[in-house]
Amino acid sequence: MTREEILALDAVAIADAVRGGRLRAREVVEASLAAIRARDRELNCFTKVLEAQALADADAVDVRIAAGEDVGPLAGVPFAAKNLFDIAGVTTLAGSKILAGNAPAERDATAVARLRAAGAVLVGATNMDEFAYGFVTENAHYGVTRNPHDTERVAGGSSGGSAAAVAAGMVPLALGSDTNGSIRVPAAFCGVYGLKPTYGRVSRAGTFLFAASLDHVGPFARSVRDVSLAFDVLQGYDARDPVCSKRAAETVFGELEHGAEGLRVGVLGGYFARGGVPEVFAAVERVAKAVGASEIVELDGVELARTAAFLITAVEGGNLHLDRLRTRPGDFDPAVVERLMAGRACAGCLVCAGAAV
Amino acid sequence: MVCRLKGLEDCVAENGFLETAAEMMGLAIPAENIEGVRMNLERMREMAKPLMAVSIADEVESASVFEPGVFESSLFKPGVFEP
Repeated sequence: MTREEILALDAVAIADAVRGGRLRAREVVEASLAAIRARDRELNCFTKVLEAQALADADAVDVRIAAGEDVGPLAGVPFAAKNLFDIAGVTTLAGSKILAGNAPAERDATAVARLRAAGAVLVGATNMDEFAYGFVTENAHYGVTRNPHDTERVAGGSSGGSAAAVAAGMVPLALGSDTNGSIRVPAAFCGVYGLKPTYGRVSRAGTFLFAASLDHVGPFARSVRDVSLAFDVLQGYDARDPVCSKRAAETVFGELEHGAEGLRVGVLGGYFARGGVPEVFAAVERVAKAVGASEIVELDGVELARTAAFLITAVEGGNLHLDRLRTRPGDFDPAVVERLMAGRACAGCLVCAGAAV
Repeated sequence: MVCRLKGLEDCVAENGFLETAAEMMGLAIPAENIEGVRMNLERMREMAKPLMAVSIADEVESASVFEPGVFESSLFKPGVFEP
């Protein structure tokens, strides 16, 4: 199989070929690293590439498969993680210059550890808006991540490096985080699938949080089946995240074969039916038709919820960073520092009303 | 305190709120950031207006904690899913 053919595979197809002995994990990871070398100078998706470690991990997968072991459902699948996820031996940046002086993480974030335990191979950490406070991934310290479909356009954010790396074919799978859209926005901008799971379904342990009452972590991929398989691997209780649900994990990958059968799907109206460009509404209509959704559903209070989320995020973010705002205001990204200061100044005035709504 | 007497809108408009809040939290806002912080504060005020106009029932003030389902511990076991 050529490198181009390997890079065209999704995660499920890669794992199937690796587990079946038709492809070696090393070949897949080498193809991924070659793609990163070829395009990352232009796109700037990665802040750290773990070439030697990734090749060693891939070799370990191949050895275990040769020994007849089951290495997991993501065997040999290269993946990347937004640089707010702890990676053992790597300093967690969260897009910040201030954190660059911290000691390397001692252990992987739970999400990273679960993907690795399922046989996936981490190839690097990706760029993001500083402290996840943005929608563009134009980072003053680590540069702009460009959209692979048109490098004159932004990749979206704050998980822009992860979304762009998947869209560019560098990796079939990546991790991001979403407080107010930081998975959904870059996924949409880059034309890939992104999943913001229900709050508490996926552990955030070992990630640098932004606004804890709204933070989620989730996967990006180029197929629905990849997103669902990654979600199954990621979900489940973790005592290291105090808001992680203790509910039994409900797997979804096997449900895909049923299609939309038995599902009730509606199209959101009201707030969601206003302000979009015609191309977006046409795309929504096509999807609605494909899944047999004809009913328009309106949710009460969604505009207020958006406002509340905006304010809660500003206040919680400002509160989280107060010490750094006091001691190193000049080392923040200029696009972020004034929003955090305003949020902290506002603490207590507005957030109680927002939380109640 | 300025805010209790005049409300947030007047405080922001009269350049009093930000200075008072910054002093209370021990935050020295650099001169080059003051106008930017004030602009963000104004934006928050505008965003908050519809929210602040909502009357919230007393029983809602006790915020609920979201928990999607029963408390049944089940740890993930790698390798159980067949692609």
